Amino acid sequence: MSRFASAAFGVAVACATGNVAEIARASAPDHYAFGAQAAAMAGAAAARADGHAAVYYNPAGLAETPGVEVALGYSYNHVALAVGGQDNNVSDVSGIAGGLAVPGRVAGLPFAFGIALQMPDSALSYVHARRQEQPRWELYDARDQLLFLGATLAIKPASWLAIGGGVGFLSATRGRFGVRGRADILSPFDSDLEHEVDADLTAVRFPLLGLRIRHARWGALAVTYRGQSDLDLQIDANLAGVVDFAGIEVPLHYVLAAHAISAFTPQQLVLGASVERWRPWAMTFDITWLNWSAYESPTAAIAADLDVDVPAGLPIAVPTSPAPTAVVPPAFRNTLSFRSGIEYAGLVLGSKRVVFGQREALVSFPLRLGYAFDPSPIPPQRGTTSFLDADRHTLSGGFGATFSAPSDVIRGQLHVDVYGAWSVLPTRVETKSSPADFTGDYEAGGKILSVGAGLRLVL
Amino acid sequence: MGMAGTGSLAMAGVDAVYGHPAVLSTVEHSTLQIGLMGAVFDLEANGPGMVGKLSYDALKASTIGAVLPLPLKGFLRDRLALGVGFVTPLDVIVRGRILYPEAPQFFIADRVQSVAIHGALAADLGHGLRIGGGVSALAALRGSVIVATDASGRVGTRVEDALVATYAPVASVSYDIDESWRVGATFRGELVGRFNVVIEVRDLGGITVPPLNISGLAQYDPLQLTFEATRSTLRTTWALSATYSHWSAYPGPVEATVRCQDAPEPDLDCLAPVPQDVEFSSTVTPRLGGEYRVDLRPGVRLALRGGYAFAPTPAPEQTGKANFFDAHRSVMSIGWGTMFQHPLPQLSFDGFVQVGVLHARQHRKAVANGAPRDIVVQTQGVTAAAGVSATVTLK
Repeated sequence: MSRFASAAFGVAVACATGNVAEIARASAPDHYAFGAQAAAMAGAAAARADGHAAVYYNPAGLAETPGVEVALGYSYNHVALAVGGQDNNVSDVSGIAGGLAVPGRVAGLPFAFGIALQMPDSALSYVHARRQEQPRWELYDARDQLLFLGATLAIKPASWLAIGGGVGFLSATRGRFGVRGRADILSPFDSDLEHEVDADLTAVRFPLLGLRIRHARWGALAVTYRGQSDLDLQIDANLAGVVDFAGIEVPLHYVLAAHAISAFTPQQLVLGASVERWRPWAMTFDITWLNWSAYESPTAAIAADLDVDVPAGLPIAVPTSPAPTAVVPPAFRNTLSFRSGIEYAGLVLGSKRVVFGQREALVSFPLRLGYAFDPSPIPPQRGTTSFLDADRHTLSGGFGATFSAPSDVIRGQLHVDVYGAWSVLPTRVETKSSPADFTGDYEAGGKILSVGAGLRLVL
Repeated sequence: MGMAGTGSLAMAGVDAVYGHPAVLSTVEHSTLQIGLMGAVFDLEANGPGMVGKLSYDALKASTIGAVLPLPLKGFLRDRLALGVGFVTPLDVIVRGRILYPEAPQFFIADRVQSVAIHGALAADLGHGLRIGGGVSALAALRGSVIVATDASGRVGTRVEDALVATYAPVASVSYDIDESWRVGATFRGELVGRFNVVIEVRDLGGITVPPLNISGLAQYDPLQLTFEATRSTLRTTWALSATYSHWSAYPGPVEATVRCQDAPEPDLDCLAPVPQDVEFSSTVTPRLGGEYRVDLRPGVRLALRGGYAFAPTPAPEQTGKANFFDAHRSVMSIGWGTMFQHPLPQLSFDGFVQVGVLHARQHRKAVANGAPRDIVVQTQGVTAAAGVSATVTLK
């Protein structure tokens, strides 16, 4: 068989045996929280976040931003997930996060807008395709290598009510490519081949909505909605040309069409509460409903056809076209996640001064703790697929320093916050129904260590 | 846009984030702008083997921008400002169409289908001198497809595909000569959106297949240097600018599929073809724009705008196999703005319509589809763009 023909068919077979186009389905904030302050409280921030963090946690919180905010931070998440004690080399996740929040008044009403960005170090989005039956950490591998960009507005029609909304952006790829020309078997690098690409990096928008009701003494209640998003991934390949087999030309035509729904992010509804009755203590609670049952299989539906017109007498065996992939429904379950956090802001230093209408010490040192429980949406994996996952417990902590009117230039506040979080995924045992299963029985579990820091200037 | 790409130097606002970041520091209050814009293309290539009208998707994009004066005190009072701007096509972030060279294609139509992200910081140094700097960002794609046989003899593949960001620096300076005259210059670095997916085939029974590089430049903005002078009075603003675009550095959209440098050993006799140089030339684009303002009633001001630009084409006549068409372009634009001021809410609404006429051009083919031919291809076309925006000023 000609070398080029073999290569082309290699691509075809590999794709047609059921690869999964595993594009990140959610951005890092879903998994590791957004911003150092909220991350220290395990991401329980729907009723308390203001400034740029409110773009993600609750857009209504923008309207409670005391001044113009500019923020920048960095986080690193070391992921150690294993099957049968063997580390699976799931990529660590790191990147910068930041944003702007600008409050003001329009027609007498408090109004604010904000932009928030979390950008992974490695890429804006990441795709890793595997066979359907290959074990993979479906909710972690590549999940967080995805840009989060949100832009929201908020108004405060009454002193006790704030409403906000906007859009978040995701991105991925769709397109086709073609290769044509003459492949030289004896001297591969003399091959006269050329290609064309018609691909789009697509944008997907999803809604971000929020409402917050505040009581002057007790704190606030909040509702946040984040919409579902997914991407209709389409990849088409067309290889057409001739293979030069020691002077004998063999025409070859190969067509591949792959279609998959990917980049799935479930719609989410968050109910949050913030208890601030006993200042300088503050407690926050979030319960998040995630509509994982709407999850569609990321396995690509692939049609492939190889057409090689082999002259008689040539020792070339042409493989038959592969059978289409039988996609197994993932049957994920809806989940309820729980997050809670506590902050103590009673450690202060320096003289009092008025900042944003409040009497504040020169420096305060807030201390924060948090706990989160995220149940796994993945059902027992007894059949073809082996989506690895387990319930996740996260314990977090952090501290900060808030400087109020520290100089003649900065009459607002400068916040410096750091945090760390430790997540444990207790070992989960999966027993396959068939003793001849490709993967076999396995145990899966792991740990995730997160650290990060942030700087916010509020003027 | 209503002034054919001029005016942002004089009327600092969200448009200045891209145009002249230095003047952002003249903005007194935080400003948010949201808008929609669209463009359509009517482009044709006529001649033997040509298809006549070429089909290009219309551009539909949203715009979001903000200018944020930093309310610092002391010696930094009213000195610093931040600006951000996004132009996002509604359905794509970057369009990567890298067609076979002989496919008739117009340079301008796909270039606009790309997200544009700009961020800048500006400082007022005093004495009328301002500086600004920032970055522009674009998305690019890199990836690999590795095909190999596993231990059981089955052919398998690993596909990795990552969307990455590329950046270009922006630097700007402006100087107020007096109360009415301002001059400025802006430098923008080369911004490249490259697609690069490499197909590698390994361990297929001793079969050697060269790496197939599915790659090329999907988007390319050349290094640019813009000079602009403006004169503003109570009622009018006039602007004149010239932009140098370093198109001669453009390597062309297509890259080699098989590359000699990928060979495991140096191969001096390697015959893998290399795409032809597109031989672009650097250009200078002059622009002229004006605005006239009139108070309709207390607190309501109307602005009427117009402008003209002549954009010379960087692309040479297509005499060979390639059909990479472009032509000189005359761009005419008109626009309007309605500004509401105290005692009304601080809002403004702006709109523009822009028409670009691609001058008719003939391409005398010495080679077409690999065979010598003596044919003439005539190209011409029109582009039309329009947009509206709403701007709110926060106090």
